[in-house]
Amino acid sequence: MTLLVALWNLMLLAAGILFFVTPEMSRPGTLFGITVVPDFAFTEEGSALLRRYRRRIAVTTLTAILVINVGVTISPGFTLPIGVGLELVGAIACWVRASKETRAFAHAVPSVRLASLNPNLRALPGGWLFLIGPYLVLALAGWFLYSNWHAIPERFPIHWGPDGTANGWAHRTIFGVFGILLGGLFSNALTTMIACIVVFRTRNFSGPGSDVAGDRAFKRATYFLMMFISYLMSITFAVVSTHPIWAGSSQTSPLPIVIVPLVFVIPVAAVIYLVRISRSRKGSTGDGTPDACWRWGMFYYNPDDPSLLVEKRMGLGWTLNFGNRWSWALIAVMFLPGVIIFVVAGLVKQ
Amino acid sequence: MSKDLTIAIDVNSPVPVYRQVVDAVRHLLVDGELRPGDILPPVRQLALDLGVHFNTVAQSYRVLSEEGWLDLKRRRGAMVLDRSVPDRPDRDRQERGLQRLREVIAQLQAEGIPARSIAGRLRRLADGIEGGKS
Repeated sequence: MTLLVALWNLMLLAAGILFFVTPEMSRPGTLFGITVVPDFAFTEEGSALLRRYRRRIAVTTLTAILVINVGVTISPGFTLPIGVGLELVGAIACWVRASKETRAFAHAVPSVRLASLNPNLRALPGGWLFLIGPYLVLALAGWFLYSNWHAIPERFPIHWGPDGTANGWAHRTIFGVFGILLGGLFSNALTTMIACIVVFRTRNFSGPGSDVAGDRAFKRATYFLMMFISYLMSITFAVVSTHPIWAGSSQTSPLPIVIVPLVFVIPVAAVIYLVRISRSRKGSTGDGTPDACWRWGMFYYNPDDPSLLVEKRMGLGWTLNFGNRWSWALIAVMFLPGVIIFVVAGLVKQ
Repeated sequence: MSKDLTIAIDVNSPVPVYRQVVDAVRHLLVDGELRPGDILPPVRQLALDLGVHFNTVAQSYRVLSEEGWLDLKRRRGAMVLDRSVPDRPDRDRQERGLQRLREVIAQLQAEGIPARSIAGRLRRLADGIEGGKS
């Protein structure tokens, strides 16, 4: 129990730190979801807003930690959801309040918009072969499994604990052998689809004072990062699926020792990489989307904007334009792989 | 297309966005910046970059197509056609065009631009037209 409480304390602290630095991740020209002058955060008013927000986040996080540690002795079952809920709701309330306070310093979004007449503006970075690479990796693994079908043991491990000891098994059936690759196929479909939407279905904002080159660099960085994740997942799925051939029915595996650290290291490295590119932009006009279309500085709803994804104003990356009906289809597709993987994993374990 | 051409719209202008797109593209066509055989971006791409509805840009392309500037039969984008200027334009059409010009001048005056400044700019434009450049 003590270890579990310590873990939850750590997680709440990590979440608090994340909310603490969230305003730093936004692109220059926006603060708390409001368009402001680029260096506003360094002005007296901007610094005061940031200080107030951070003070509130610190109080929220410490309160949540206190609730967990005190509540666990009274009612352990309820304490965890209450603590986590307090942290999340409290942090979002802090953001919304800061967003409302920042409105007084809003900078007008330019009404003039420019667009290039170059029809080939949206070339796929790295080309089509680079895009289908992750699928080729999975196909290669599938072909390897098919060619070595008889070398696969009747029962083999497909899941391991952190110490590398097997705790999940499958049998030599179509589902058992190829199910993992199917999971890889869906996760690849999701990541490559989002990567392509960033290239083809987002706006190249261009207006007076905008940093067109910087915005394109950020898009390219997002695309390559998504593709890097896709390649990494494909290789992982390929290695895990072919494990029965190169390791037989061995009870232990070195895979978790390699994979688990990557799960922590890669997201941190990715965030640092994207923040650096995002913050290096020199535009003076924010992202060009109207402030009025941002609810709480978090959710974008603009039925007149055909963009499917727009840059987030809270944190880093991209968010859906909820005013575009295709966004809802995309949400459904995003959940689909999770449901399918869950079902397939259940079938494989049986 | 020899260079990267751009068009601009003002979403706060009283002129409808589709009309602004038509005017901006037509200006490039008349100036010869856009030449026969050039391909314009697909409707979706231009609409995305301007942050306006697809139908707005589609309507602009249709107007330019009806004027004989664009071929929209292509699957991707729109191709600029070799459009010969009519020798003797329709009298009503000519009158409508001049009426629009008068309305634009009245609007500029209403926005506070001095008459002398407008007249000077019109004179320079007229010189350009006579010299073969608008």
